[in-house]
Formats: sequence, C-alpha cells, structure tokens
Amino acid sequence: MTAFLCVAAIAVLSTLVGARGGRVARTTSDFLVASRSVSSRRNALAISGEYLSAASFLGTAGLVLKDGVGQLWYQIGFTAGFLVLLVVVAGPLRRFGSYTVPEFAEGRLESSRLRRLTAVTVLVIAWIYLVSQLKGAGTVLRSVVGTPYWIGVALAGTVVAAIIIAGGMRSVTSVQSMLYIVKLVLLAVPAVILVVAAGGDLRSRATRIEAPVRFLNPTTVSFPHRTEIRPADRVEVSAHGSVDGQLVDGPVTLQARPQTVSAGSIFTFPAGSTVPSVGALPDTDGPVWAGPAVASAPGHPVFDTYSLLVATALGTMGLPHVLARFSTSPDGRGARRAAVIATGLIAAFYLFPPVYGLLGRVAAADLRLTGATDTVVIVLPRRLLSGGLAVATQAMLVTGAFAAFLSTSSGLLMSLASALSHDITRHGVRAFRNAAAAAALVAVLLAVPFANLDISFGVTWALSLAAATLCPLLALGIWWPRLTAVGAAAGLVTGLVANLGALAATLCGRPGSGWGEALVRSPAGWAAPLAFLVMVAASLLTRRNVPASASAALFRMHVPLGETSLPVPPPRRDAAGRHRGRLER
Amino acid sequence: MTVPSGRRPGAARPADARPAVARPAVARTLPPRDSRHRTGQTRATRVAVTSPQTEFALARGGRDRTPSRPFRLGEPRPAPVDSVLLRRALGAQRRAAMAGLVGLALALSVPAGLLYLIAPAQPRLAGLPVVWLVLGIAIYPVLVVLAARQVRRVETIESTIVAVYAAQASEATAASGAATAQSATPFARRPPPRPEPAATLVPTADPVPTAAPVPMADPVPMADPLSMADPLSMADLLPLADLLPLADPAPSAGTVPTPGERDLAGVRGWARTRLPLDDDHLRDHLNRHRDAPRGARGDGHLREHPRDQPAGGR
Repeated sequence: MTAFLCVAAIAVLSTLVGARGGRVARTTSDFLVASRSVSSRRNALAISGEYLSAASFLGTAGLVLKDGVGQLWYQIGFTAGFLVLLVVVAGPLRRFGSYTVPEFAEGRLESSRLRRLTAVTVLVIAWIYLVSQLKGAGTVLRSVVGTPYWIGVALAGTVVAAIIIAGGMRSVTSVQSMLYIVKLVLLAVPAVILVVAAGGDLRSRATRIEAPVRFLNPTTVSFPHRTEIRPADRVEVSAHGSVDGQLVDGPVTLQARPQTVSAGSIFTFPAGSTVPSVGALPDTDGPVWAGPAVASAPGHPVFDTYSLLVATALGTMGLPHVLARFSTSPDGRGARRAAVIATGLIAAFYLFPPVYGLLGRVAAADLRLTGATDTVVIVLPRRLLSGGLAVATQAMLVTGAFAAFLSTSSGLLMSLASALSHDITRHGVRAFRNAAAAAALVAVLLAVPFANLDISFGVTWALSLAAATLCPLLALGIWWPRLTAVGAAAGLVTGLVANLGALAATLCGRPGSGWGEALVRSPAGWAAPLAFLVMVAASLLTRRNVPASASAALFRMHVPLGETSLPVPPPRRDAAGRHRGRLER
Repeated sequence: MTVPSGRRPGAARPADARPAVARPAVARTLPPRDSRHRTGQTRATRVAVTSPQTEFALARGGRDRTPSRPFRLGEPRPAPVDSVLLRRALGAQRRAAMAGLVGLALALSVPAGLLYLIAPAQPRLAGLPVVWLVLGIAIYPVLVVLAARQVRRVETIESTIVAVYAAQASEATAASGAATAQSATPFARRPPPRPEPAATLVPTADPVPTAAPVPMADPVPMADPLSMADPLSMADLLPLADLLPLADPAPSAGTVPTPGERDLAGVRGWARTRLPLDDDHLRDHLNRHRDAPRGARGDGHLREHPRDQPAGGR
C-alpha cells in the first residue's frame, strides 16, 4: 500500500509539474521544441531523465545477476552512445533548425516522400520502445502492489498523455528534469542503505567470486517455465511437481547433476544450501560470471559484444526522443553542451545499478531459477532489511522505477505525437494534442497483450532499429554532401526490413542455431553497417539527384554563424579605407 | 611576442565599433541572440522560432499547411554559401569528429583488451576485482573527459571559423567601399585563377613561417551556384602569413598542442592566408585560445555568453 501511495504521488507530482511547465505553451513551437528556450543544464537534466529508462533502473542490475559483470558493457555502451551523439549529431542537427527528424530529412534531401518514410520509421521505433516501458510499469505495479497488469499500463499511459497534452515539450522538459533527480536519489539512497544493512559478512561474500552462493533463508521457488538445474552438491528439498519427468511430492534429494524441473513445480530449499546453477546461464561462482565478456548466450561472444556496442552506441544516435531534446536548445553550442553535461549525469547514475546486481548475487540468486532477475532491485530490500525500513526502501525503489517509466514514456510519446501531427497529418497544436492522445491509446492497447516480454527486450530492438535507420540517415545527411533522397530511402528500408524480419523471426519461433541464431538475435551488428553501405551505394548510383541545396544545408550546419560568443571583429582601417598594415603589431 | 591589448575579453563593445557590414542572410534568419536564452524554460518568454520549412513557406507567400508539398532549401536563396569556407569548415569539423570517434574507440577497446588479458589472474584492488572496478566505475570518468575535450575542441574550431567569416565579410565590404571612393578595386590586381592542386586543399599550419610566405592561388570554388562570387584577391593574401599569431616562430620544446590546436591546423593554415592584417580582436581571441592556461581558457571563453549563466539566476 505504501508503494502504491508513493507511485500515485509521483504520478500526481509529474502531472502537476507538467501542467505548470506547460502553462505558457500556446504555439506549435512551444509544443514541439519548447520554443528553443531550454538552457544547457536544464536540457541535460531532461535528456538524462528521459534517457535513463526502466531498462537502466531495473534492467541492468537484473542482467548482471543473470549473466554476469560483463553485462555492464550495456551501461558503458549507453554512455558511449551519448559521446557519439555529441560528436556526430548534436550541434549540426540543432543548427539545421528542423523540429523533427523527418523534417530534417525533407529539408536536407528535398523529398516529402522521404519525410513520410522517416516519420513511419520514427513511429515504429518509438512505439516498440514505448510499449516496453508501459509493460514495465504494469509488471512492477503488479509484482509489488498486486494490482492487475493493465492498471499499471493504463496509469502510466494516462499520466504521460496528460503531461503532453498539457504543454507538449515545455511540460515534458519540466517533468523529465525533475524526474532525473528523483530517479538518482531513489536509486542511490536505497543502494547505500542496502550496502550498510548487508553487513560485513555478506559484503565480503559479494566480492569473493570463488565462494559458492547459498540461500540465506529457507526459500520457496516456483518454477514458471521448464528449467534445467544443476545443483553443485546433493541437496534435500521439499518439492511439489516433477523432476526429470517423475512426479514428486514431499521431501526429495536432488543429485549433483543436470536435471529438468517441469513448469509449475514448487521447491523449497533449506537455508545454507547451495543455489543450483541454471540452464545455459554462467555459474555465479565461475570466472565467466565475474569476467569482462558479454556472455548473454553461448556461441559467439565476440560478435555479441560487437553487436551490443554497435546497437547501443549507434542506436542512441538514432533515438527520436533523444534527438528531439536537442532541438530545444537555443543553438548548436547549447545542444552540444547539453550533451556533454548529460554524459556526466548519465555516468553518475550508472554507478549504482551494479551495486544491486552484486548484492543480488548473494541475496537473491534464486531469481535466476525463476527467470525474474529483472525484479532484483525491487526484491532486495525485503531480503536484506526488515520492518518499516524494508517497506520504505522498497517503496522508494518502486517509485524510482515508475519515475523512469514516466520520464522515458513522455519523451517517446512526444516523438510519436510530433511525427504524427507534424510530419504525417496536418500541423497545429490541436492536431498535436489529438495525436498524443491517439498514440498513447495505441501504445496502451499494444502493451496489454505483451505482458511477458523482458523489459530490456523492446529497448534493445528499438536501439537496433534506430542504429540501422535514423543513425545512418543523420550521420550521412550531416556529414556527406552527396547523399540523395533515393539513397536515404533505400538505406531506411534496408534497416527496417532487416530488423523487423529478425524481430519477427525471434517472436515467431526458434530461428535456428549457430551463426544464424546469432545474426537474428543481435541484428544491429550487421544491419547498421549494411544500411550505411546501401545508403552510400544508392546515393552514388543516383548522384544526379544530389539536391541543389546540399551546400547550403551543410553550410548552415557546420558554419555556426550568429550563435557564438565570439566578438565580431570591427574593421580597423585608415581614412582611405585601407588596412593599417603590419605596423600594428 | 607581445599580444596587442585590444579590447578586454568580455568588455562591452562600443556600438559604433560594429562592422558596417550586414551579416549574411543565414545569420539573420536565426532567432535574435539576446532574447532567447536569458530565461529558464519556466519563464513565460516566447520567441519566434523559424524552422527551415516555415522560412520557405513564408517565402512562398501564404501559409502552406500541406506537409506533402516539397520545399526547396535553396530557393529562395537563404544565404550566400562561401564554398571555400564551407570546405575548410567541414574539413576541420570532420577531422575533429574523427578524432573524437577514434578516441572513443580507443577508450572502449583498450580497457576491454586489457581486461580480457588480466581477467584470468583475477587481480584485486582495495578488496574488489579490478574487472568490476573498471567496468563499473573507472571507465565513466574517461568518457566524460573525452566528451568535455571534444566540446572544447569543436568550440575552438567554430570560433575560428566564425572569426574568419566575419573578417572576410568586413574585408569584402571595405573593398567595395574603397572601389567607389577610389575608382580602383583591389580585385583588379588579382592574377588569373589557377587550379589548386588537390593536395593543398587543406593546408596544414606551418609552425615556422618562412621569411617570404609563398603566395597561394585562389582556391577554386566547388561548382556551386551559391558560391561567393569574388574570393579575396592575391594582393590581400600576401602579407598575412607572418603577421597572425596563429603560428609561433619557434614553439618551445615543452609546448604540447591541445587537440583543438591540432585540429585547427587546416583552418589556421588557411586563415593565415586570408585574414585581414590588423584585426587585433581576432588576434586576441585566438591568443586566448592558445596561450591561456587550460581552465581559464575554457571557462573564460565560455562564461562570457549570457547563455552560460545559470538559468533564472538573474
């Protein structure tokens, strides 16, 4: 109940702050880019608040618990993505002056069809991302408060729609910059509380890799799926279900060998017994878990690591909701400064999720048996604390997670509404508000059937899609004068088809094994370079169609006239209008 | 080398010292500088913001609300594009961007390789595995420092580009004014244009200028209908190289150029041949970038602008 009240409070607070921030919003410029009046620091706060989604708040700790410390490359990739964004996109894109990425595509390449295609790409990316955020909100509320799944989804959807309808980007900016601070505090303070409460013994066990992980208390595990477990030694459990196809009910001895537990089985492990290893996951006391490799699945760790870095670093550059934030800066310098400050803020936030993952290894390793590692952040307070402090700490974490859902969702809904109202249908504030409501409704309806997706699933796919579509469009559009509309469209279609095909293969069934599976599982590693190649090749083939305005557009983006603090040098001449010459030295 | 006193950085410039030259149209299409960023976002200040589309819709006459109608960025002509300046600017910006990306790639791959090497030994520091410390903590300051350096590098480049542009603009106007007064235009002395060898498109800074600077041919503009009609004349270019403080006669052995300095090589080498002789403000500015201690350079340069004051802090 406490947690629900806290979540309700953050929802109300966000709505109020959004309404207040948006009270002066009247024009399209207010709604789409906050009239470009957001200072660098404030924009950096808002960018960080928007970027640090539930995948960062909950997902990273869960990945560390599940697959090991090497999963921290995700966080590093997300931060590095901001550096790429800063280097390649931030300043020039803001200077170009478009409200949205599709508008950039049309302005740069003189094609209204390309604008529509880009808008569709934005919609696909933002909807995939938004659905996974709403899904996370529903799951967290259900697991902690016990409300039906759809209530969390609908609550988050309603709040973000209200914020955006109230004042568009002006509201969103206020809400996101507030929510960054909320998230940081609500992740950092519980982390300190938990580390202190864990005690010296648990802390030292958390840092000793070689020590086997044991259950702290008698622990009941309900297996939702058919699971292969490997106890390290013989263990007496109280079991109800089936092991290796044989029904068991009552005390049973699990031997130290791989055995399969059927879905729905319920085992109670005694305190002090070793937590069994699970399926293909790395052992928590082995070198793989503690090592630097991204070992999410057996087979091709090098390709997986490379693909991960491509998806996170390049994908960040193509996320429409992040790009839209840079349009709110007064000029290119402001946008770039916002990016560098945001890099620092994001890095500061990322210091804390590993703490939960490492504590989770010694205090909540049973989550690996059930596959619910995503909830480790929420579960830990109950494992390490007791009484009111446990309730309060858990409420803080649930509130922080909900804040993450709200801030990221609001940015995504903002992008959806902008693309719908500015790039696809007619312009105007009323169209924007209608588009926001419609996009939120669609996202809620899409999220309801997807209750069982991983939180990081949608994020990974959205990043992969962005890396193979908007990223090459922006990188080449900003830096390569010979890009043509045909080339850009070919690259966009390539990226869309490659990613959606791989997504469909993943969702519909087992895509095979070996390299085929690796390629389908992480398409960013090949789809993004392929999209770049197709864009360049198709542009060279249609080189007659290079827009006449390409030089003007690049001049506008790279020669920052009228926006720097540099004093304009006054002419110093003699009476005849000539230079006064080198004697001035 | 003595640095000309000039105007103190940050001091108000007298109104009559503004160049008589109108800024190019690109500059005028941007929102007015003074009104747009003095407030935090919560203040109820709205300013007119013109997206490229609005710009051209207005130019077409009437409000065109159908997004499907294509608009042409180049018509009506938004600004005269100096294609030579564009090429230099793009070159410098590209080099800076590539340097940033290479730095990032090194910052990620070097620790990764080292960690793979040392991981089997399971080294520990202060009770924690080194692998965890690096992946969880140590790599972030590196990324933040890289980002900050990148911003400083690019801002140095852009300041120089703008200074060069402004100097060129005032030069061009002065030339046209002198033409009417003396009935002799300096452009008359220009030798016939020669094609510029591809290798010298981006000249690098010569740290030790020769006594007699080598005259450069006028760079050949790209085939661009928007290019500036008259680049500066050879006579204007000749006396510049040894004057600007862009290259010290003999840099001391201990001086290590900053990344921004290195990237500016192209712009500077070119600027040495194109800048007016006696622009002490420009000299001031560039000297500040080169000579000031690191912190002062970044902060002093950056804080001058009202945009960099805390939002709502006034």
